[in-house]
This record gives sequence, C-alpha cells and structure tokens, in this order.
Amino acid sequence: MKNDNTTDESLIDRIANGDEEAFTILAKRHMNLLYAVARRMNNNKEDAEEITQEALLRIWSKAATWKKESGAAVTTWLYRITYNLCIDEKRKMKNKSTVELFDDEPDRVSLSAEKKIQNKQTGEIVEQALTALPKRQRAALVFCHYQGLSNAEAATAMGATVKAVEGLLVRARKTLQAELQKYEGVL
Amino acid sequence: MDIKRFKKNMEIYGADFSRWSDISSADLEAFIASSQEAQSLYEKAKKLDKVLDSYNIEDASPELLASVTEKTSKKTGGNVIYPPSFFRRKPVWAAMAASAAAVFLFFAVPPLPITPMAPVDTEAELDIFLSEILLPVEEESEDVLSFFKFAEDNTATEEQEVEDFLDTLLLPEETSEGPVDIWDAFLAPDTERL
Repeated sequence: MKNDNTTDESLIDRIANGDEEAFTILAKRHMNLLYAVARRMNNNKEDAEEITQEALLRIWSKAATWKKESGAAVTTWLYRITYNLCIDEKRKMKNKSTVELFDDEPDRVSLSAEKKIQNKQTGEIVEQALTALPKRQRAALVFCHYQGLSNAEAATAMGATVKAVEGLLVRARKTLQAELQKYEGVL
Repeated sequence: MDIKRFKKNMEIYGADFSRWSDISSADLEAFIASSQEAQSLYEKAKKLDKVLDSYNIEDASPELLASVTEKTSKKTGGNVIYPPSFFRRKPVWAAMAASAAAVFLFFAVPPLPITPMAPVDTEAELDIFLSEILLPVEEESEDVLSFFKFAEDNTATEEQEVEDFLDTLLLPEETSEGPVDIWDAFLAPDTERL
C-alpha cells in the first residue's frame, strides 16, 4: 500500500473527502492502540473489538469534524472517540445488570487468593482489579500508565482537566494498591 | 523537592521517572538516596508499576480491519459526493432549525401572561448543593481531590458509588445520541463531545 508514511493529519483530510485508501492506512496504523484502550476498559475481547470497529467507523463518518486548529494530535482525537464509546458501553452494561466484580467477600479474599495465585497469572488478578475500578479512574490509568499518554493528553482524550486526571490517577493507584494487597504474593 | 511534593508526584506518576516532567531523574535518584521515607515510597510505587505491567493484552484480530473497511465501503457505497463541510456540521442545521422555529413561534403563539415562577424546593436545594460541589473546582488553588472528597462524604466508601453519586447529580436524561456527559463538560467546559 502506498503513502504509508503519510501524516495522520493529511490522512484525516483525505478521509473527510471519502478516500477509502487513506482510511485503511489510518485504521491499520491505529487499530491496535484503540483496541488496547477498549480491551482494558471493558475486559472483554468481543466488546473491545466492537468498540474499536465503531470508533473506526466514526472516524470515517466524522473526519470532517476534526479540528486541525485545536492543536490536539489526531491520536488524541481517536482516543477520545474510543473513550466516549467505552463510557457509553459501560453505562449500557450498568443498566442491564449489576456485575459483581470481585466474587469474594473481603474476609474470604486471602483464602481464595491463594487458590487464584495457584491457578492464574498475576496479570489476570490485575485485570480483575482494573475491572473493579470506576470507569474514569480506569481510563486515566489506561491512558497514562498503559498507553503512555501525558496527563495533559489523557485530559484531552477524556474531556477532563489535567487536575482531574491527576486526582483520578491518585485514586486509581490507591485503590489498586489496596485491592492487590489482598492477594498474597502479588504486592 | 521536599517529601510532600515527592509523595504527591509518586501517587500521580508512579515510579517511572520519565513521567515526572518537572524534575530530572538524577535529582530524583539523589533525593531518594537522601531520605528513607522517599526510598520506601519509591519501592512501593515501583512494585505496583511492575505488577500493573504484568497485565498484557493480545492484539486485535486481523479480521477486524477487513470487517471495518468492508463496512465503510457499504456505508458510503464507494465514491460519495460530500456536501460542503459547512452543511455537514450538525450545529449549523440545529441553529437554522432553531431560528426557523423561533420566528414561527414569535408570530404564531400569543404571548403568555408573565407570572413569577415559584421556587421549587428540590431544585433550589439542588442548586445549593451544586454550588457547593462546583466551588472547589472553580477555585484553581483547590485540589481536585477535594471534589471527590465531597462526594465521598455524601456516599458510602465504594469508589464506584462516589462516581455514580456525581453522575446522578450531573448527568441529564439520555438523548437519542446517547447520554451527554455533563460530568466531563463540568470538568472541562470547552471540550466537544463526539
């Protein structure tokens, strides 16, 4: 495929004019990044793929609304679309049912934790602890820790202030620290 | 650098010094070496970072790209002639429709007698409550954590409950396009929802 080194900005311009090749280049370039956000936000492969697909389709249909002059990188805009979809998805899920994220009572955690340690990888326990975080705290952590965004970039992606992101990160790390400490040998 | 600032930054950024934009790694290492408390905070954060890094995820399936590109072709039928971008913007259409409606109503509807609106207790209470909540955000000097603290004081200790409590207060009814997140707008009034 030609023009694979074209900038994101010019690809978006071309997509706004219905250029399918430009869209394929952009989608191929960023698909895994968007999927990683959706996957860590939703803890489900199928939902994450659906969100990624919807995010890419929105990029196709809303490319003309991207504001070059805003100064934000295209990737931040892509993250923002994905983030909004993840938040909406979580709201839909919440309306359907209340999910029990930690299936153990607090006083029984250490007992079952031993069993979990034996059977599962630490990564799975982290995945479970992340799932138990409130959505905005999780998003702040996903953007900053896993995707490597600066607090300012994460704030733009989340439509929040930098101070809000800082607050969310502090809360997220504290909550995770407390949750993961319940599992022997993890922290 | 003092221990208070070090602790705050460690809570925000963790032990990855590349994220601490305002101070060099060398200065941080020197500070950690000089303080036992800093050393302990650093070790604790490093451990958490390491555990968090153990959560890896797979790449998206290769079929996803094919599925998306196929859908875009179907969605537009290939070569689409787009109208000028001015008319593609929803707010333009919304503003035009609103103006037309306003003109129509101005001529079609007789004026209503003006009566002062009686204050609704619950709304008044909500206003007071919201102004209390908004205050720490409006004051730049206040840490945003105080905003959470306020919600926390009014709910149980569950983290999700704190966010849900804020959502209940700040989210309007869902629109056909999905819920408009006032919570986000509240935190950053200028950002546009996509």
